Amino acid sequence: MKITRRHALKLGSIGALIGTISGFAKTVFAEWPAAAFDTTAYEDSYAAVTNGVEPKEGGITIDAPEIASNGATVPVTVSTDMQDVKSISVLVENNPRPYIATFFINENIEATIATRVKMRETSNVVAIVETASGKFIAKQSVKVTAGGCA
Amino acid sequence: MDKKVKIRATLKDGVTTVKALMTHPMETGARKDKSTGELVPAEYIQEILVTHNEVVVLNANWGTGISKNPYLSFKIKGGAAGDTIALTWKDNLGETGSGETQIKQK
Repeated sequence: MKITRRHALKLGSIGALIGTISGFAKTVFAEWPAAAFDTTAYEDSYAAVTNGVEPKEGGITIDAPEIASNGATVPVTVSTDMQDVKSISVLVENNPRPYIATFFINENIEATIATRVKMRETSNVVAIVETASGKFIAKQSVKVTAGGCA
Repeated sequence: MDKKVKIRATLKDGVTTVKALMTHPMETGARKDKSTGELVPAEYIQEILVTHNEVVVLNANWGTGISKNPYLSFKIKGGAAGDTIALTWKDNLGETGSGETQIKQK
């Protein structure tokens, strides 16, 4: 195939676009904090997530069942009305590895995240929300009648 | 090879609700195979990336505590019918999965 100038430009721009997307994905994908996720004591997980910033109470709603019959899948929804939310982290105090996840959101995402977590036993589900004006924390107790291998 | 992610996005009253379901064992590495007594090696999703018309709107770091066949739902302010929402995951073994959908007006 003869490559005309038009073709070359088109190919070039597609290449650049792919480059940008995969480049971005790589930087995002490189940040997984192994040490934080490997913590086995809640205090350590908490310290890894809060990173020296003591969170304030309140402003967060955790929607989780009071009693979960199956600890392998416990539906948890974390939401807040606070502005400028940067991230939402979820921890389960009594799990063998308490740090569950962190969700980073941009300004176009409503600060409501729903997912399902594993719970070994009855425990507090902890949500830590980071906003432009600091960190906030909320807890809710979930009674687990049959534990999921967490 | 990319594994498929089921994803749906519906627009209602100016808010797009995205629901995604991934197929993944989410093995913690601490569970024993009942028949052999051997530990099942860890295999779990570590990273999630969601784009709205190719702009990253959400990314997440996951540990082993997310349930098997993970479910994730969130809401986007605005969005228009026909916009593309795509989700990609990557696990600890380097496997990836992805899915995309167009926002539907409800």
